[in-house]
Amino acid sequence: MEENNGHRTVKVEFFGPFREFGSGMDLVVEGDLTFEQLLDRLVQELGEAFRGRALKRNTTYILNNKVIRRKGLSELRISPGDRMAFALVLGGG
Amino acid sequence: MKGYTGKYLRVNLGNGEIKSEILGEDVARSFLGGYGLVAHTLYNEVPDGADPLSPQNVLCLWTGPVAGTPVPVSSKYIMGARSPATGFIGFGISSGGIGSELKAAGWDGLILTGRSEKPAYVFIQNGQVEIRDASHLWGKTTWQTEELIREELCDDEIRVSSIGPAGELTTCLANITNDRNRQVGRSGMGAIMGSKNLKAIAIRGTGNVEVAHLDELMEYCRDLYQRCRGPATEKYRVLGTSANVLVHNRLGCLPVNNFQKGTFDQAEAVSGETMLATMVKKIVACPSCPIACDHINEVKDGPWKGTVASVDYESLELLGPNCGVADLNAITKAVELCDTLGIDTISAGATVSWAMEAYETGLLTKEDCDGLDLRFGNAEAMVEAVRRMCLREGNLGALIADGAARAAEKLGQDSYKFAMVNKKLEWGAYSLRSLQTATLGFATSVRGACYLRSGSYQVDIKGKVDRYHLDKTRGKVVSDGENLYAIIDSMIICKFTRGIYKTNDEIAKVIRLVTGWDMDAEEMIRTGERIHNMAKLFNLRFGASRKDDYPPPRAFEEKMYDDVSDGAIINRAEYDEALSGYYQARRWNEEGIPTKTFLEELGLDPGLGV
Repeated sequence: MEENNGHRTVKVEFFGPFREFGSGMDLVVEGDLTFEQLLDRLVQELGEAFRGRALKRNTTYILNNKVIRRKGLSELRISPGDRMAFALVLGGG
Repeated sequence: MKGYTGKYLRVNLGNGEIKSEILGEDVARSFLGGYGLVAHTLYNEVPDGADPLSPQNVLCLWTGPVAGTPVPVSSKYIMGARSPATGFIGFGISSGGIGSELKAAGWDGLILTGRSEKPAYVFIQNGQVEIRDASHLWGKTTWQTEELIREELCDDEIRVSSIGPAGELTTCLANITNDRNRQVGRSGMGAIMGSKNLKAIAIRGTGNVEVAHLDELMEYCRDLYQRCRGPATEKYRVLGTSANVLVHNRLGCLPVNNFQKGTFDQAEAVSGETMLATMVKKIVACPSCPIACDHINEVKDGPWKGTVASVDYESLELLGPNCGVADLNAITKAVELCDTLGIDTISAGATVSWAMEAYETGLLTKEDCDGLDLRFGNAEAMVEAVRRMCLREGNLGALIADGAARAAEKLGQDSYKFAMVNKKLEWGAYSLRSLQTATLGFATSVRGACYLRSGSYQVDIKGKVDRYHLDKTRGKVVSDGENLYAIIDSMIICKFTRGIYKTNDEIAKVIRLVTGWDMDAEEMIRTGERIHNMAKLFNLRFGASRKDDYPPPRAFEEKMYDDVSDGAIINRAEYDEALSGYYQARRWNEEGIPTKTFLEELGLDPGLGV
């Protein structure tokens, strides 16, 4: 029987060039994570190349429906049930 | 005068007169080029009350000082006239090779007046200019016209700007195509060519453009080219602008079903990521462009197999999710129809989605649609509606060929409430209620709803402001963006390169090296302010007022419903305050009219000021 981890999962999505790491993943977590802790978890799964890509200056971080500005990353708390996306910096169409 | 040829052509299509005129240095420095010279030309030359589709309207084509120079992504041109869509200033900017070709032929611009008795095209080959018969080209698509003119003139390197059948039919959505996949879009400039019986403009130039400080410019451009290959433009290089789809969907600002919602449950199927993996045949670049953003799709199977078209975010979104359509093949086919028959993809998508909503609410019947089942999500019906719109075919084509606002006027029954327009021009692919600074920028845009006049969506999307609310400070965000974009559109450089310049002075440095003028960032931004006010004065001459600077009723009267931006709506009092804040930032009065003193400071005609 499949265990339902939905209530303690962070859904991570990859857009644009982050697709080289797949379309995303569900991370089972025990409680809130800092951005650094989330990044460490993703690096464990995807390798050190992910850290380099994620910390590039043109990366956009979206927590749920909100873009997180780079200077706000150190105070970020990601909770079970949240959705975190990594994308390129956004611009015009 | 360096960076300019110092002369432009004036062609009277009515009597065949062709003249060379001088572009004075005072005018060039005050209005720079491109958008600035369009505003200057139209303000001074379009007679009061001139019907946009009459011979009295003036159609102009301008380049900027950087066209034909080594500056990255600088081969652009603009065409402008009083718009048949809005009644105000109309213009569209296109890439491709026309801008540098015209400069190489020895001309900064071209002003077209009158109306030819029979279909014609203008051929410019360096100093030789002629008006040629185009009867055999009438009815041809834009792609056919380009090829036929090159064959006829026995020169594969001739650049051609042309209209398709939609332009000939003077539909308000008609655009102008060059280099197959590049368009002078928005505001109906193709209809102006059609009204003048002008099928095309063909150009061949073999000269050079002189710049003031060539060695320094070359050194600076080497640096700029490197930056163009860096992180600032990565998005455009990898997925193109269609990278926006999934991100906008995640943020709840992807227009869906005629802007009713901000998320699309089939977004992945129409994403830039999916498009790159399944559809993109090649990625191409404009002349002097190291970015290469143009993603060319090929349909590999199904009823539209073999269709090839360049698909960007705006086209994809408005013909896709905004029509409820999740079929990239259908979207590619619709874009191809728009490009070859000659209408604007943004306006096409926003107009078809209006018709779909009218159909679903029962205001339009299947009979009204000549048998089309115009439900949201019906990909085949979307493609067929676009085709009929281009050709004014049948009841549906006749209803929607001139855009959503005019279709709503014909249909009545409050259908204007869901015509997503400002100044009768259709909204771009940015949600009204979940990107509210963007909405202020769209609604105050001089050419009607437009994301390219101020780029004000950026502060919303980048999380710099509360995008679900407005306040007075947003006015300055919009006006600052407009002043800078007026310069970008007058030089003319590609907006995709704006991120490679670290400061405004780095942009001014390009102007200094090309022209030799001692223009600093302050003078440059002041020039942008002058250009924008000139465009505004044109609109005031044709009756613009505060009421024209509002978004459509849906923004204030209906809440969004989706799982990200659920309940979002614009508070009218907040919008009023933000609009007043915009006017104050612009030094205009509460009706949006500049003061005489301010106009004099800018060196503009104070006559229309208060």
